[in-house]
Amino acid sequence: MASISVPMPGAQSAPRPQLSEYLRWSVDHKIIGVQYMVTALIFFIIGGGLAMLIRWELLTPALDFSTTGSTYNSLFTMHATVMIFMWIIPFWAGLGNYVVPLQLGAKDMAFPWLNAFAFWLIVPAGVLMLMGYFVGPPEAGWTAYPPLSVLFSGDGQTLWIISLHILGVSSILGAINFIVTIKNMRPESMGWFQMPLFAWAQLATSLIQILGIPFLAGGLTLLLLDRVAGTAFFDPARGGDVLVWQNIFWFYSHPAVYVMVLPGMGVLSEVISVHSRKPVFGYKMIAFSSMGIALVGFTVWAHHMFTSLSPELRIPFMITSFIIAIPTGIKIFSWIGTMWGGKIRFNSAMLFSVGFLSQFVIGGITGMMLGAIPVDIHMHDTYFVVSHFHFVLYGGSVFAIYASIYHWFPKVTGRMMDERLGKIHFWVTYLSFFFTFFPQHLVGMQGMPRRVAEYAPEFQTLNVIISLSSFVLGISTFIILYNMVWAVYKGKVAGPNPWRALTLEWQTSSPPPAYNFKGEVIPFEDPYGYGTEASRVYLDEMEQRLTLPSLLGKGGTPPPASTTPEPVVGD
Amino acid sequence: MSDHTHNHAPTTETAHETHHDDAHAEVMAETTTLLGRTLPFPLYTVIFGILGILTVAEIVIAELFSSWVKIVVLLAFAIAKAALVVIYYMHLKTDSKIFTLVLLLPVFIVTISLMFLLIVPYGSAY
Amino acid sequence: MSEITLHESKQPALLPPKEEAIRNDNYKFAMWLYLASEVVLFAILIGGFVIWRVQNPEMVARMHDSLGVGLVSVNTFLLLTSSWSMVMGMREIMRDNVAGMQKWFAATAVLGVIFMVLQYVEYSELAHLGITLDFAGSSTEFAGLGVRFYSATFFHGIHVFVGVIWCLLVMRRAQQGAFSSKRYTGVEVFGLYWHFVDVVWIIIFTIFYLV
Repeated sequence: MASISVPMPGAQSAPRPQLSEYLRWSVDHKIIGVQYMVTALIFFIIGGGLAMLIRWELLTPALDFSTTGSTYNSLFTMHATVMIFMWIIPFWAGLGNYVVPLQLGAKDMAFPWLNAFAFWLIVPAGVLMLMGYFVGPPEAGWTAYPPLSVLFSGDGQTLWIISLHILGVSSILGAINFIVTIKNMRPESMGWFQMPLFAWAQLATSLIQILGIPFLAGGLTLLLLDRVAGTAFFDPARGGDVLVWQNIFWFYSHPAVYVMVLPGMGVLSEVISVHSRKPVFGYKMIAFSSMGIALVGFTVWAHHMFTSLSPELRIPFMITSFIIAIPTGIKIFSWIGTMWGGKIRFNSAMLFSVGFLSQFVIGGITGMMLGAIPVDIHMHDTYFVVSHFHFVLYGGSVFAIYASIYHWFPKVTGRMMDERLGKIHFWVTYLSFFFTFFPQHLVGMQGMPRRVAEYAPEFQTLNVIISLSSFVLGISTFIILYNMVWAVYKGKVAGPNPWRALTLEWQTSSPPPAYNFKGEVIPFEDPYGYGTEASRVYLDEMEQRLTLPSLLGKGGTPPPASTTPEPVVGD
Repeated sequence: MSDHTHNHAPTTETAHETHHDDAHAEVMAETTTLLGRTLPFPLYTVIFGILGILTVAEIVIAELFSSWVKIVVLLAFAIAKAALVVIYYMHLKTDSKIFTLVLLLPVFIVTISLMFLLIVPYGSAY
Repeated sequence: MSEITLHESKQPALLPPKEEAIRNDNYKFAMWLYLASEVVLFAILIGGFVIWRVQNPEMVARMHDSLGVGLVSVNTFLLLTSSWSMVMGMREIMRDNVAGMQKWFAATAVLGVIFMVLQYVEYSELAHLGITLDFAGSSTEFAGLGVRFYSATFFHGIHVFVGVIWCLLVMRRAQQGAFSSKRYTGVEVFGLYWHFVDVVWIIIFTIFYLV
């Protein structure tokens, strides 16, 4: 029947890197990955603080602490920019950096130096962006539509543009690195369709970045010229056209929303399969749908501009916007099919994945509603839109980020996170998230516009509910932060493969040694072949070879040895 | 011939090796066969000659004619010249086919977006 | 189950020569991916001109009449020739002739520098006509032309500048013996960049100066 090759690693106790290694230039993809992710988490806290201020302002219909609307404008501009460009996108770059080479059995990324360079561009960009807030904050929203961004915004807008330029260069370099790594660094026995789905997701994401970011860079350059060199690209009074900006911007930024969610979908494919103990249902469909989303994503941009386009130009974009729901639907169907009949372990990673599914479906359906021209014209620039994209970005991307943290934390640090705290974190986040963003649908449909500091008194009840829930949501973030810090020092020792997973990153010790693998890397023939007799023999054998020597003498308790039923670890 | 020409992909390794050697010979030869005639120049020089002739033709057409046909012809010439450089000087003809894909993808996407921006009647349709 | 057999592998990790081959391919692949994003960036800038040009054909015709086609034709031939000397240099390194490669590459760099000088001359002529980058300083008969013209051509000029610097670096490394017929990926990757700059100029030349 099946014949299996088992890798034969050497000693299993690789020490964790010193803290000081994370604070300086390093070309090790594992260090860089953690640098990315921690930096992103810091920006998450900053962006979250701004969100708290926004919700505080909206507790009452009148102006509260912001003296003018401008103060409020700069708040939501900074909130959106920080969250999108400095939290979600860099976090995925970091996770990809850590996990993709391990999943492919590679020693490092294809270009280690370039990798470090791309990370260190994030730091000055972040500093510039935050400096901009203090020299005269940008007030044009994260979309920076002219003439707002040219005529009515402070010097911070110029810094905002430069900062985004730097971030764009960083993302392009990172994306080139990912694509080359994924194509060239796999072991010979791993074909395209034996690749883990997270790597497929990163491949699609990187393609979008390479083809999309130059649009933003071109547009930003013209915007910068308009601001500092007296040109009139976007000034209709002098022969320019504001809508050129909107076209260029959304031509990047619509694909960019898939940059934010595709890696999350890759995480989901991993987590759901591992914790349901079942092969992924429709592996190829998930892989192809990632590429499909990446390509079709380039044809839908103008649905952000329905209110500014002439009627006959809207219709093709409505059609493509509906078409792009199909690959997403395929993925959701596949994940549910994966869970169906599985031996599901409801640990924190799995809970957040299921949470992603439920919230993302709501966000997807409101997305379809907004993709329909008549609804969009009615809902445009109301809180309904705000609710929609928070459902896909928070309920989607951030939930997937949480799932990925719970899933890969043992690999990165060698310690398990506390499951009970994880579950508390999940339920608090899930409920407060729902009560923060679901009522926004309602105020939106009643007509409350977005981006306003003062609103009609009849919206106050719902806004108070939203604000109070959002404060709980803000606090819930600290549960996972505490859990992570606690686990680094006090967590149970994880061992190389706490989840009994088949992909390659679990074949090496946790944290992995320098150059990741000792000896040759042989992937299991099907990266998701859970539940088969072959995988059980393989995992048992691996567990015996990998776990026992390293755990003795370290004071940790070894995970339950290979019993026939799947052990539920850390529960 | 040399180590660098090995493709890492296991399935195509041998195929690529021989393929590259052909390409190598084509580049290194002192003569080039074009339309059945043997020219006493290396391949790169012949391509340079064609590029030069096309450019002169372009300038002449631009100076002598003026109608929409001129625009179409000139654009066709430009694309032909660009294609020659990409195929021969940038070795797309003999290199991995994935490089061709990497080049065609952005061209395709850019064409979609520019076509859209061009068909929007200026100043009226929004 | 007893049918399943396990066997260990004793082979070491990646073998050295194969790794070298992967690296070589990596660099070219990465360069192509970078060029893919450059295609998009240049397309935005060129497209910005094209869309505007469709609406203002007389203004562009006026510019062509005042500027003539002589200078820019010389420039085009300079870049084409530099591309040719570049591949001929690569051909020399493929037969282990470092000195020959140095000669051809020196020609490439010199042609690039002359191109930049002539572009400066052309920009002064255009400024003299009243075509400037900022809207306020531009003469009314060329209102709005400047930014669309300069943004694309100057961005290309920067690429030529970077290419010349890179060319000198490649020559220096060749001097140090970094390249041979077995090892010339560094030259090839620079070649990809230089030819791409040439291709962009071919498109710019036709669209900005001839059509």
